[in-house]
Amino acid sequence: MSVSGSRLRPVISSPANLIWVGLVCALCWTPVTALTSDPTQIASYNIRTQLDVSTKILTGSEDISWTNGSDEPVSELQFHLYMNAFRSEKSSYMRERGGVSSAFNDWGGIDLKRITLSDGTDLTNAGQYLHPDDGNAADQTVMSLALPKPVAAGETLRLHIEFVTKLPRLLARSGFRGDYFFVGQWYPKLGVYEKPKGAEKGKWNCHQYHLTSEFFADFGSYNVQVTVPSNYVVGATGELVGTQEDAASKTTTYTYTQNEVHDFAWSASPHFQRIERTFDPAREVPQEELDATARLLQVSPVELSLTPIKVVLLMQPEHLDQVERHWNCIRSVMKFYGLRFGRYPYKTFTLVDTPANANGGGMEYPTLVTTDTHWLSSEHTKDLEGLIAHEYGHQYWYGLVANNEFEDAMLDEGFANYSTVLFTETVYGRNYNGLPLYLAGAPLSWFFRPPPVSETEFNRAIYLMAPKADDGGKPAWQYSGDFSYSLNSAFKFSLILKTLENHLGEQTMARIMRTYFDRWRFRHPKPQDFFDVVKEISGRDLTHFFQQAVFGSNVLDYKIEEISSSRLRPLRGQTGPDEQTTASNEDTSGFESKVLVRRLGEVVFPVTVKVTFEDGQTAYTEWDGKDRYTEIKLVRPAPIKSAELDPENKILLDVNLANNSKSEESNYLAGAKTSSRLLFWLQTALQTLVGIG
Amino acid sequence: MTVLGVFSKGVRQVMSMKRLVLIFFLPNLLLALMMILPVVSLIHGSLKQSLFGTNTTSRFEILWLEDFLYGHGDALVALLPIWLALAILYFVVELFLVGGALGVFSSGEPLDLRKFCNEAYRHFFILLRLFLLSLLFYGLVLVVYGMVADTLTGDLPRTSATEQPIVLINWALYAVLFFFLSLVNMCFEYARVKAVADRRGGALRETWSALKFVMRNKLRTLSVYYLLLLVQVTVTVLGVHVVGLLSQSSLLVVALVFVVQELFVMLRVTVRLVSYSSEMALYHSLKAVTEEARESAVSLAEQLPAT
Repeated sequence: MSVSGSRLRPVISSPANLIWVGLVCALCWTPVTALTSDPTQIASYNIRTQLDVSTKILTGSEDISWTNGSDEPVSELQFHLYMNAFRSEKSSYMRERGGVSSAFNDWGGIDLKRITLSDGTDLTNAGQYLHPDDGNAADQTVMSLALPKPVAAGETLRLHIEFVTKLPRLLARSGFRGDYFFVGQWYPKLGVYEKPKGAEKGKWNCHQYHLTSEFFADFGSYNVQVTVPSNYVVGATGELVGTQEDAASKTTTYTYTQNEVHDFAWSASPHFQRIERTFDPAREVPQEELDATARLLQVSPVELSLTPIKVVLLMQPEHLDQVERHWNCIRSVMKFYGLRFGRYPYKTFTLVDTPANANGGGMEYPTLVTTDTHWLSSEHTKDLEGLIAHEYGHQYWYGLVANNEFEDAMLDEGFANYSTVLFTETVYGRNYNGLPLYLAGAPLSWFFRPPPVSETEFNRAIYLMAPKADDGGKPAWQYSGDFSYSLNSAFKFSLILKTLENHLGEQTMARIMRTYFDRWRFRHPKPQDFFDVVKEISGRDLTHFFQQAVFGSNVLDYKIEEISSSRLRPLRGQTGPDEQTTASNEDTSGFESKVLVRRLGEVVFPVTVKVTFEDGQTAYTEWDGKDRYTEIKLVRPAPIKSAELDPENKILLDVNLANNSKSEESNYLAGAKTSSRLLFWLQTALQTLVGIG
Repeated sequence: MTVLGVFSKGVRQVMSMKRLVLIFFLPNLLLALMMILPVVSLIHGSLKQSLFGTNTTSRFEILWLEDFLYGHGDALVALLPIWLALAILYFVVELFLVGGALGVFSSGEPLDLRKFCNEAYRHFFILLRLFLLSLLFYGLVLVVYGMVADTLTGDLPRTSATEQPIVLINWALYAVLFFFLSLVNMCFEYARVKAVADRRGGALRETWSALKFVMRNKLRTLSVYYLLLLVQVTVTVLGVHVVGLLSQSSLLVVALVFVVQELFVMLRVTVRLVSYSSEMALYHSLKAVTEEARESAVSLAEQLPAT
């Protein structure tokens, strides 16, 4: 509990009150103190560590400050000990992975040597492993620490932990490969204590490390000292604020600091080539672009102001010819996301170019990402740009808007994919191919120009591979496999967002994204929080759509089943029982056209139907898409020529776009062309086959 | 005979038997049509009355391809065994025809269809045995390559921090693999030539004999082989490139492009026949030189006084 000066003054006016002051001061020495529940200052770490590059061992200690941001006392702490996933094949991660090859012998793990509270209470033996997800008693990636005294609401607990981490050979994200080290999830890290909406009591959200899960933690401040051999170049989360060389031990200690983040990762290698650049908005953001984005978002340009960012590239020596390519993409994406979503609030950004075969490229940490590229690279194959855009997107979706990656992976993966779609389709347009097309290390674009494949088309192709594999929105480790996890979290949800953008309009969607970022940065949103922002900004309740599309495995498929026209004729009948049959006097020139639209899939979505007539006239009809079918009847001077639903291809979730239209006239050209081309390729393949024989 | 001389003789011989090109071309077209027919009906069903077809006429629609594979993936997978069977049938037919072509090239006479069929039937089984034997040799090359590649690259993929040495070593290994695979291919082509020209049986004997022939005449056999391979690859690449450039904006243009495509296929067939013919010409010319040399040696030996 800390006491501010203003509250002290009236208290110390009498001797009795001096006793109270004394008691208050005494309380300052306990490990539990009161602090504000600022969401950016829940879990702060002061860490010192030294890396022995020959044994791959990190020896470290950390001082943790944890504030109970809930409204109830908490009597235990729960920690992630992620590195224990690599301790043996018995861990849940290894079991889900199917083990490792028999040649693998570079295991990892983390041991806590000492745990004490700031008053000296020793809790070293108070830890107990938990297995909240799968009951695997051999898994040691979650530890509960019972506290001698509960931490009251709003109070801060301080504790000290000494630990030893053995880094594994890189299998996933963290470890070593040769003399390259990537150090992520390496320290004892607190879970998140939260009280879900509607729950009576809070609880720890601290999941085991799974093959398909990522991470979740609270925001705080990090002050980290990393000691490595002096010939190693280091990059890390945050700002480098100090460097101290020790000639005797030939080591250097780097001190990094960063506030308002929820993780700290670093990397070291003697081969890194360190290149620094500065993203200077004054130079990078033209006024026209600023004004255009301001108009799009319906805000003042002043609200879109960005701040300079120091960019550190840690490049592999064989990729030095690609420095400008990396930098050009980074500056472009920093501008794009900064204007569209919001200001990147940190002063630094580090990109670690991973070495070949390191298994660590394509990962995100606060203010730091890893990428990988090829020694031989081509500007025509933009796989590198797509990767940088995706990983930088994670700075927003995961880094700043810090969703629970275990339970709601789509809120970061889907958003990062969608952000990549926005960026690449705006900046590179139709001439974009982000597929990693390489043969024996050489880009295929050296031999032929690959056809353009946009990020949207790529996302849809992946989605269509198994759209019904799993219900969406599941906890990461409950998907039927790695592919289903990626499909549902990243590709499908990105398509959902793009369909939403097409449906609501670019401007509304841009405002939704910016509002969601503004409101939820430095916090932990759930999917409903995003849906609420959609409803608020768009004015439409899309709950039903989200329930079906996001959380189910149903597909969306509408079809133009039939079109027909018949000439109007006078309707015959009797006006009375004794009268002769007569024809009505209605105008019978023209045609009655019918369009039968059918919903084949289970997902309901409003659709637009465009009808074109022989005389060139068109008519548009909106259908809410709820029933199984609808019949549209139109009377026009000319018969129907064609009918098309979703004429602008907005509904990308539709699994069959070819049945979205029907024409009276048969078009043999497209089929003939495609078949002819296929025949030629088949003949060539057959000839090559006999040539080999 | 020089390499170019052999090549031009091969070209002249094939040009004098243009019907042979048709004989080889027609099975290729027919079997490819049989393979593609079920797929064509699926493609037409998808595009015939859909406005998606209009988009697909101007450029290839990836979105349509995604839909098509999603909607018809199971049907396409079900077709795979049929495709495999048809590919095998095509291979057998081609092998049969190769025997006939080699027989006709060897005789040097004008093309006579009856003689062609007789030669094809006569040599089919030796050629089949040679093909099956070649598979063993290809397999052996691949196994040895695998072992050598593992030994040379060793731990490099696991420990190397750079991609460059791995890529360069792999390129060198692929080049060596290509050389040995093409050497096996060439040896068996000459084994076929010898089996037909010398009218002998015994696949193993012909293979060994062909290998000796190639080793004795390394420069010429390799030169002819790689020259023809280069021509074949050039024609293929040119065909793919040219066909890709043609914009098919109407049914008439589609028909014209179809004709252009088939002309390229026939050109490839022609180059293949020129290969057989050139190899046969080279074999005959080198065999004649060897026999002349033998006769000279015999007659010289007869003229020497007895000791």
